[in-house]
Amino acid sequence: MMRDGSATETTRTPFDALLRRLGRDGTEGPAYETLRRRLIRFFRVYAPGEADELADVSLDRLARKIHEGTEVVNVPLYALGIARMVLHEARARGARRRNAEADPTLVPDEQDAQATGELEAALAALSACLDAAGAEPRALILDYYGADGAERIATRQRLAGERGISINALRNRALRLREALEDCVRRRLGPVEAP
Amino acid sequence: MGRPRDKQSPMIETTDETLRRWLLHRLPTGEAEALEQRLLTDEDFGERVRAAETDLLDDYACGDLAADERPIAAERFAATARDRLRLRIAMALARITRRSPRKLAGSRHHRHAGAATGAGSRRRTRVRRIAAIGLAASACALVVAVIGLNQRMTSLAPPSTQAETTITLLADSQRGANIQRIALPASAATVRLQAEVDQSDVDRRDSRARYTLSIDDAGRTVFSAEHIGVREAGPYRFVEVVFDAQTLAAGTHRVRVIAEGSAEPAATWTLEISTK
Repeated sequence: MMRDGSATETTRTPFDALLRRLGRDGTEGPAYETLRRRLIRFFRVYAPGEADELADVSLDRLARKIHEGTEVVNVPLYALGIARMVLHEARARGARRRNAEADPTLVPDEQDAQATGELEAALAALSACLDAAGAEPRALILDYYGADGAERIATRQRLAGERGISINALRNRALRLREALEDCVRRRLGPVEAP
Repeated sequence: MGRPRDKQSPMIETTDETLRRWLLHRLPTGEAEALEQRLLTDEDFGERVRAAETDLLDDYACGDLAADERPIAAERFAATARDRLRLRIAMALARITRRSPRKLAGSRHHRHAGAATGAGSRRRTRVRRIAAIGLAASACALVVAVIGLNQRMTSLAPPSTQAETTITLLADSQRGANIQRIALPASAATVRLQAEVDQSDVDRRDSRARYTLSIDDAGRTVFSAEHIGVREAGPYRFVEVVFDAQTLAAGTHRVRVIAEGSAEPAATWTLEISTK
């Protein structure tokens, strides 16, 4: 029995059924993207190399369950249950080996030149992006991410105090800046190679 | 398939340390499941996880993780091409935020690699080995000495204001009665000591091999660590410990590395430590 009672009569595909269960009148699309994003985050904790793929497998199964008429009271938590099962299966069959078998910073000597070159290229791109970001964002990035260990907490508390904002607000602001910076570096370095 | 659990877990305090332990797969199952639920239902929590992941990435890029944490981080941050680029950016950012010592350390590697050109295959191999091993620390720590290349190595070490310094001990520099002289920066707070493990010590394929590393000062053990896992840099293998720089007081020290449960003799290095 479906909680909303109408999916099987009004939807033709499992995907339609899932969208109908997630919302109506334009809310279903964003709700789907939110659920998918959260599933990807879940899989990134445990299976980062195949997070997107496993999230899509989970959504497919969720859609099929709803389409078949399974009772789903809480969609996110039901999706989590499916995701755990998908993760368990992926691990059991050894679906895919991780992409790197060793610490990627410990490259074989034949690759030293390439690794050094890639790092130098990233350094140049990052410097350019930091300069383009402006003085205040640049200073925040360098201060926020420049500290480590015990110094990290104290530094961030000081930065938040200086700006008169909460530590959470500072964290979000630094994270947005960091992501924008990484996007900038990616654009400067060109297309990312295939996984 | 059974119906997935959908009961809400009790709210627990989630610190950055808790998130970090979760990302490193160190959290008990029950706590991890509670965080998984929050991740699926709380958008703000997802942002916090993202921030914790970024801090973890930065620490990994700097080599600031414990030996048993690195494989998990390596898997995580090498998972996709996008992740690998993020790691390079993190290493570049680390160079910028702690600019001078790191750039000097990096250029020093290049200088010695260049100096080895034409000096024979054995020496080239050793330089490549230094580059491979030292790269683990070069982004975030000053390598003050690589014992076994030549004595110039220590004299070329730049003045340091870096809190952590790195000493790399190569396996073929332990033979004989050579005393290796190292001048530690006075500002050093911690020392990262990397000791190469001979290929003959244990079967290279045995990833379960564990080592004990100890440091003696005039017959008195001043530092000892057991059950150390092996790190690899290309074909080379080494163990690594980090300890308070005060452990290496001025004077003569003997470093011993022995494979646990093995009949192989210990590898030893004699170091003459001074402060500059």
